[in-house]
Formats: sequence, structure tokens, C-alpha cells
Amino acid sequence: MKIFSYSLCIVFILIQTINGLYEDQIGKFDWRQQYIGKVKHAIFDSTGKKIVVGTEENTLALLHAGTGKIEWRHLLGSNTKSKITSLFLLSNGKVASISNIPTIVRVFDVSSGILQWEAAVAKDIQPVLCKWAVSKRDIISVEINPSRSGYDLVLTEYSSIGGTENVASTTELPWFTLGTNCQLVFPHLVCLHPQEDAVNIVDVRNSDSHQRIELQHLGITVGADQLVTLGVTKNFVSLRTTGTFSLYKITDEGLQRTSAEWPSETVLVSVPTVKDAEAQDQYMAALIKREKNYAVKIYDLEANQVLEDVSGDMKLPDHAGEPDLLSTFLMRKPNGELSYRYAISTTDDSLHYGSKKEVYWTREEALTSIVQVEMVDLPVSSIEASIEEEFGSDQALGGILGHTIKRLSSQFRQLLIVTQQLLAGQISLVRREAVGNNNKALERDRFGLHKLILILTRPGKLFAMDTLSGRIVWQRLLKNVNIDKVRLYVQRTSIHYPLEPQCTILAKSSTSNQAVLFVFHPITGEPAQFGSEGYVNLDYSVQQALLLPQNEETEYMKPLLLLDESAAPHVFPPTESAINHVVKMSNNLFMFVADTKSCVLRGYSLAKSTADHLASAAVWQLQLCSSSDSVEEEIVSIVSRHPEEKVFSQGRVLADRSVLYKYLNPNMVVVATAGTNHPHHRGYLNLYLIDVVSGAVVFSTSHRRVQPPYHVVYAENWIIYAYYNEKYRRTELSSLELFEGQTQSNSTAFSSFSAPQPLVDRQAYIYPSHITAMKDTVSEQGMTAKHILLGLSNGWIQEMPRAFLDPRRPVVAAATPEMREEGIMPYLPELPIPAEAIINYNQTISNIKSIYVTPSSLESTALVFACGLDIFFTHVTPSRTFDVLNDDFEYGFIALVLTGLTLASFITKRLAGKKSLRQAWK
Amino acid sequence: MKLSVDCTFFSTLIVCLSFSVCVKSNEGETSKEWFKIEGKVQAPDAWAKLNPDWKLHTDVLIDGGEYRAFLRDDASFSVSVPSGSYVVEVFNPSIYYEPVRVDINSKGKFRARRINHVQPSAVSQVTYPLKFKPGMPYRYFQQREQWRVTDLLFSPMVLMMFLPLILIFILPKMMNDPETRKEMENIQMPKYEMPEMSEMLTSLFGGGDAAKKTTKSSGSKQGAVKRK
Repeated sequence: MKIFSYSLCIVFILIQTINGLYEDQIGKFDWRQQYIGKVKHAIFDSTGKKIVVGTEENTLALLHAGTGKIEWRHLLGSNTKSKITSLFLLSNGKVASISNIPTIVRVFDVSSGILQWEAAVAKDIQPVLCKWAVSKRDIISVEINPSRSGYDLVLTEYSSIGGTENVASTTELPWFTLGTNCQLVFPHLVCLHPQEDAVNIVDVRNSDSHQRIELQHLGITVGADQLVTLGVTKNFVSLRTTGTFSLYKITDEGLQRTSAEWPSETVLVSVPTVKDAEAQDQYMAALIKREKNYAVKIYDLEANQVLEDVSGDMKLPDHAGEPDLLSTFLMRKPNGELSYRYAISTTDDSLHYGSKKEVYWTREEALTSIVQVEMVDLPVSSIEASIEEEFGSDQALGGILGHTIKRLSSQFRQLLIVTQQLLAGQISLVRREAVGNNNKALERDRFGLHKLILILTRPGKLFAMDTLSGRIVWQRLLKNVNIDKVRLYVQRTSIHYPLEPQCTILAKSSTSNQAVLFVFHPITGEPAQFGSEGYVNLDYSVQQALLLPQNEETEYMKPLLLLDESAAPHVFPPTESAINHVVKMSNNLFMFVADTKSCVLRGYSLAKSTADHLASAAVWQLQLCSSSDSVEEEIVSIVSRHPEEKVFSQGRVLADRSVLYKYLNPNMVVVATAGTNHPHHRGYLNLYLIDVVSGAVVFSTSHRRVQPPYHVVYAENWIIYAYYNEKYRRTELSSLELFEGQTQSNSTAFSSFSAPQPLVDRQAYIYPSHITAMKDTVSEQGMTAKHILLGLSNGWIQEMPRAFLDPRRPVVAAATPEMREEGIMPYLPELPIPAEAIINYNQTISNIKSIYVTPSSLESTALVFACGLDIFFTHVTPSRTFDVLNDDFEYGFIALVLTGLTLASFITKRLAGKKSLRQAWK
Repeated sequence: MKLSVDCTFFSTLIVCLSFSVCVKSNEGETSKEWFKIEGKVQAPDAWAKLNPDWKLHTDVLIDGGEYRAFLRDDASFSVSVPSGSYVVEVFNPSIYYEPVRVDINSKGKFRARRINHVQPSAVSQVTYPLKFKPGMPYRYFQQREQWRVTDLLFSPMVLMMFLPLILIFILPKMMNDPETRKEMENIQMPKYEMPEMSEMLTSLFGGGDAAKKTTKSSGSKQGAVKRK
């Protein structure tokens, strides 16, 4: 009975805490964009209407050539090591993709995307070299494996219909050395060692066919220190030196040079797919670099000439990088003229498709490798700007008259703006329009839901996206920047009108070890007035950076404090006011630096700084990892609280009306280190809560026999972390909560030097799925309940109330009525995944890598941006929309009732008057 | 009891043996053999007709995507893995499929069982090769409250609007009926107090004059009724 009542209670709480979407809310404030990753292989099908692509994100997809839309898409594996090495279009309308580690051949139907067959080639030793090719009937693999006498070549054939495997032959390769680059043009294998000056050709079916051709015989003269690179395009082999480019056809006699002259500026060549099969190898397309743009030249190999009337120029936008993949399609128009289509992948990870005339579409695949995301406020609307100008400016145009003139002029301006907007149709008088309208102006809305998402991606491309529609507002490719370690800082938001907002990217220079800053205006994307076009080259390398609080003196600019390799602090922007600001607060300024490999944490104090000279002094050092040889340990994550997070309640009210005060240490960070114990190959995870001002370890805990992925979330006074329990083979979520106790040590300010020792509550829960990303929701004032967003391996994002992970949940036997009064659920080991808690419903996001949350101006609402192979944006309301009317609020009904009531009151008044008159006459 | 358990284990063992397929061992160097997990996914017929491309949108994840398999035309799948224990999960955004744990030992014996996270050692076997039967469709959305006439009628605002009307229009008519009139005469006092609540209040806050008026008016009303 007791258990029954408990379960009832749980069900009740479950119903209360899960707030799902309504079906009519689909697409109202969420959007998803699907991507495929940087294109590495692109093949036009025989009609030229579809493009089969294989990408670096290990995705195989079919693109519609006319629109660039994805027809179907398969993520072949989430394993980061696994890559698509080759892609072939088979003659029977199938596509063969070959992935490595583990080597798998998969054949899909092009039009439907359904798997036809797959063959896994399990290998213990990775071959030195593995090349694939297709013949008329078979898919052929050529492997070179080390053997006792040298190297062996193994030829394997897979029938392209059923995938039956046939190991054909093993041949010895006495001439093969490590480091040789080989290309397979079936049946020939062409090999070139970078240091040698001869090409080796062997027929893989016939071991006696080895030929060695000196480069001189091929018409190439190689000077000292010159490298010859070998490339392959379908049945042709190209040899490139710094000044020359030549193309060869392979015959049984050796390499036969094509007599067409190739300019040395040829970047890429491709054999175009041609509609009629006979002309298949007749043409060749080449991409040639010009001063400012590129030229696409079509060569007729039989006639040995450039088809000048077919060839054309190509202009890529400025924010595109250098082309690194070319795929072309040639077709004959009804009037007999040849015309080409190209698909070009560039180093900024975008894919461009176009013809001689123009680029038809571009896919921004850099959005699959997002490094950092910031959501910034938009500038105020022009009406509000005019109000700001009226009251915000300090211009002394005193007196009643002056103010009146100012007021009148600003109101006139507002009237003008309103009429303009009315004419432009930006204001709809009837009803608030559904979100997703594209032509909305880039200005702040009342609830702060309309923002700009700044996205920094791995290829060094910066995007600004509109939260309402997901439209790319502007994009920019960073130049001369090493993209390995980049951070984006918002130094000034657009709240401080009329001061312009400013963002800064901190990166390493690509030419030296020193740091580069790129300063820009987040709304327009224009570089700011710093350095050369916004790039500021620093003469030191940076090991840590910190955004400091702003104030009026710094013109609301958050100074960026940079710590160089010798631990000397620098301030950006290096203005006097910023430095003074830093010096003023230097007594309370501490920084810490962590080396993830050696597990060393160092704390620095800036107390010794003066206005002339900023100085730092090391105050503490911590060595976290074990120094034993049998273990490998490193820091896997360092998490601090969200910088904008506010804690609304200082404690939790218990059932006996006493308060359990939260341990709210603003200087605490969570450091997780993980390693493997070598003799048994067992993983372990250590979690340290470290006060980075004093260097004190507040708390630490350890888990044995656990495996990655590790995810840590830290907010207010609690920490939630996820790991895979190797022993029980399940994902577990652990929850820690820190309390000061029944009394608060210092209610006005927290000092790390006199901090109390916290009481720690902890509990672990089983999570019945695989977590790939984890984040907590943030609200503006911290009043709204906290939810945890969990990105799952199947593409879902679950919104889980923090109450489920409360470490104070008691086991059923120990649960007391007091606990129930406090609203604490009894402990259940396994956490539920109800479908109603999935915020992205059936819009799954493949391979979720991270989730970003920003508060909006509405206390109830937070903005969520999730990215992986796809990107997804939505709103979450952890405590429901308590501060706005629900979107199903019936305006019509309330208006009807109100008018009805007014009418009724008038009628009854009239009737009552009549009646009293009648009665008076009686 | 124990005997029967052993028996079932033995029989599944035979089944497993007959289905286990060793993929390939690389030229005798068998440090790690690879095995093929096989299975088939079923879909509700009516739903599959409406969603002909469901096989394209159904993922087979092994250990949360460590390995992936794809459905063939006949909705079967296979995936090669080294020996070990794996969670095989079939995911379609519309329909729930129960995940299964597959254990493969180093000799290539297969065993499929239900997942029990709370008691990982508990074995509840399911058939191998795997058969994924469709479960409930996912319900991602909350139901909006349907608009019903009763909701409207019993909503406080409507009650507020119509009850006074009823009182005003219908009650006087009922008064015409002599029997009810008699009844009403007995209980009329509180009925007639009702509309004068406001006056009562004004008298409370106003002063003596108002109070007198109240008594007067109430008296006159009583009289009026009697005269009728």
C-alpha cells in the first residue's frame, strides 16, 4: 500500500514536471538544418541531376544537383578514426563506399539509399597501403602488407552484385619501400617514392609486369629539393612539380603523356561524367588559378585542344577558401553545344555547385565542426534608439524650450520610422506573425528572443545566424590564423547604445607561435578599428585569457586579460582606462592555468600590479595526476559556472522551516581527470572541486572501472557528471550537491580564504541511453527551475528536471513525510526517458557534439542551440511560460466575454429602469 | 527448476552455434576474431505503407553508435564486431523498439537478452538472430485541451454572464406560477438581499443616510411584490 502511494506520488510529480511541446508548436520557435560535413568525394551520376558525396564526417549522402538539398544521408559511423577512403559509382546504379578502421565495403542503391550488401574486412594489422578500384563487375582492393621477405601485394575482388569475396592473388613487391605513394588505376598500380626519380608500375594481376620508368623519360626534370607529387583522376595519373603539371594515361607499355599542355597554375583536374558512355574518357576538366578568380577549362583529349567556347571563368565569394576538390559533369544541350557543371569543395569546408554562368548554390559544411557559439543581443530598434538619443545623450541643450524641441523632433522621427515600417510591411497590425519570418529586421524584440548566433568553426570560418530563421546573416573566413585553438569573446554587447558592440577572437598565428586577435562588430561582421583590418598581431603567445567585468570607465567594454607564456599579464584593448580598471581590482584578481597533459594547475595573483606595470605572481600549484608509470592520466574537463548565472535562492527551506544554506563558491571549478591503469586496462575518473583563488581542493571523489565519454555540468551549488560504468555496462549520472549547513558563514560576500568546509550530498543514477553532450539551462535571474539537457546518441535531446538528479532523494524505506513536503521524490535507480521530454521530437540531430544555452530577457525562457552533424535551435521553458500568456490563449474568447458582459450590463440597466418606471406608475 | 533453465540454455546454445558466422580471420593471425550480429526489424504494415522510406530513417546503433548497421531491402541488418557484449538498439524517430544486449564469447557463441540496467547480471533471453518487433509509437507531444461546449458553458466567465440573466429573466416568470410563488414567499428574503449587497457595502462605508435608504427600498420592494 505504501509503495503504491509512493508510486502514485511519483507519477504525479512526473506529470507535473514534464512539460512537453504541443503538436501545433512544431517549427514555431525551433528549426533544424541538416548538413553532411566537408565533402571529400563527389561524383555526378550519369544524368547529372544527382551528386553522390562522401564527407570527412563519415557521411555518405546523395545531393540534388539543382537545389543542393540532401536526398538521403547515412552516417556510416560515429567513430572519429573511421573515414570514407574511397567512393565509387557502379554501373548498375549503385554506389560503393569503403571505410577504414574497420575496413568495410558497403554498397547502397543510389536512388533509394538502401543498403544492398556490406562486407567487413576484419584486419589485425592495418596494411601499409590499401587502395580500391572498380572494374566492370567487381570492386577490387589492393593491399600492401609487410611480409618476411619484404612487402606483399594482396588482390581481393568483391562481386559488385552480391559482395562475394575472392582473394585473387598475392604478389611480392621487392621494390617497394615505406613512404611510397601509390595510386591504383586498375589494373595498374603506379607508385612513386618522394625521394626517387622513377615511377614504378605493376599490373596487379600479373606479378611479372613490373616496370620502372625514369622521370626523365616522362619529360620531367626534377631539381634538387623538388618534390614530385602523384595524383590520380579516374584513369589518369598526374605528376606535379613546383612549376609543371602533366597528365598521363596508363597503358600496358607504361605511361603515355597526354599531349595537351597544362599550365602550371592548374589546381585540380577531373574527368567529367558525360551523359553518353562512349565519350566517357574523351574530355578532361581543369581548374586553373588566375590572379583573382579561377578558370574552368575543358580539354578534348582526342583532338588535343582546349574547347575555349565551352570553358569559362569561376568566381568564388571572398569568404570561400582555396578549392581542394573538383568534380565535373559535361552535357550536350539540345543545340549540340557542350556545357559543364561543377561541384567544388573549398578549404573553408563549403561545397559550391555551378555552371559557366554562375554559382547556383553553396553548402556551408563548416557548420558541422563548430568550435564555439555565442548568442549576442541585437541592437535596439530605431524607435528605441531615438528615445535613447533623447534621454541618453549628455548634450546640454538645457531649458524648457530645448527639451521641448528635442522631444518634438524625436517624436517626429519616431512617427517617420513607424510610417516607414508600415509601408515596408514590417509591422503587422493584425497578429503577431509566426516565428521564422525571414524579412524581419535585425533588431531586438521585447523579450530578447531574437538574437544573433555567432558560430566559430574549425576551418576558421565565422558565421552569424538569425535565431528566428536560421538564416546566415554574414560569414567571414579568418586569414593567417592557426585554427587549432581559437576562442571567441564578447567584449561589449549591443545594450550600451550608442557604443558599438565588439567581439574578439583570440587565436594563434599560422606563421609563428604568437597570438593574433581579430576584433569585429558582431552584428555587421565588419572588422573593428584595430590593427590591420581588425587583426591585431601580439608579440607574445597567450596561455590564458579572461574577460573582466566592465564599468562606465571602460565604456562598458569588458577588458580581456591575457597571460603570456612567461605569465606576464596584458590587457586588451590596451587603453589607459582599461589598465586602470585592472589595476583597481588587481587585489582581488586571480587567474589559473591548467596543463591538461601534465595535470598541473597554477594559480596567479595580480596583486602586485601598478598602473605602469602589470605583474603576476604564482601563488599556488597543484599536481593532480598520479606520477606512476603504470597509469596514463590527463585532465578531461575543466568546468566553471556559467558566467551569467545568478543564484536566486541562497538556501533550501526544509520541512521544519529551517534553511539549508547552499555552498556558493564563485571561485570553484570542477576538474575531471581520467586515466587507465595499465596492468588491467581499467579506466578511472577523478573529480576535484578546486578553489582557484586559494588553490584548495574543496572536495574530491573517484570512480573506478569507468570509461569515457565523460560529461560534467556545474551550476549553483551542484555538479552532475556522466560516465560509462564498465563493470555494469551502463551509463551513470552522478550528482553532487554542496551545502554550508544550517548557518551561513558570511551572508554578504564569499571569501575563498575563510571559506567553510561544505557538506556534500551525493547519489548516482542509471541512465538508460548513451550521452554525447550535456548542458544545464540558464535563466536571467535564476528563479526558473534548472533542467539538464542531455544529447543522446540516437539524436534526441532530453530535457531532464534537476529534481530527478537531486542527491537528497531518499530510498523508499527512508523517505519521510517531511521529505515529501519538501517535494523530494523517493530514490529510483533508473532515470526515465519519456518521449514528451524530448525537445527536438522527431527532428533528430545526428552525432550531437555540444549544446549551448543562453538566457533570454524572459525569465522563463532559455535559448538552446545544439550542434553535431545537424544544427538545431529551440526555446526551453523549464518552469513553463509563467511570465507570458500561453500561445493558445484565446484572445477572441476573452474579448467576446467582455463585450458580452458590458452589453448585458447595459441591457439589464435599461430593463431595470423600465421596470422601476412601470412599478412607479402602478 | 534448475534443470529447465539448463535445458533452455542448451537449446539456445545450439541455435546460437548454427547462426554464428565467423567473418574472416586474417591469415591465421587470430588475435581478435570478428563476428556478425544479425537481425531483422519489423514495422507495422499500415504505418510502413504510409512511410515507404522508413528503412532509410531507421538506424541500428551498436553501443550507442560505436558501430552502425543499415537496413537492407528486406529490413534485415548485419554488423561485424569483435567478441564482447553489445547493446543493439534500433532507432526510428516514430516507433519504439526495445534494445537488446548481445553477448558474443571468444568462440563465437551468441546470446541475446533483454537489457536490465538495474540488475545487469539477470538473464532473460530473447531469440537470436534478433527480431525487433515494433512497440508503441512515440508520443512527443502533449494533447491540447479539446474545445468542448461544456467547457465554455461551465467556464467562470460564462457562468458570471448567464447566471444573473437567469436570475433576472427566469425567476420573475417562475413567480407567476402560484405554487412556486407561495414557496418563494417563504424564502424570498435572502433572494432579495442579493442585489442589495452593494448598497449594504456603501451603507457600511457611507454612513447612516444610506442605511436608512436601504431599509426603505427593501421595504418598498416587499410591498411591490405583495401588491402584485
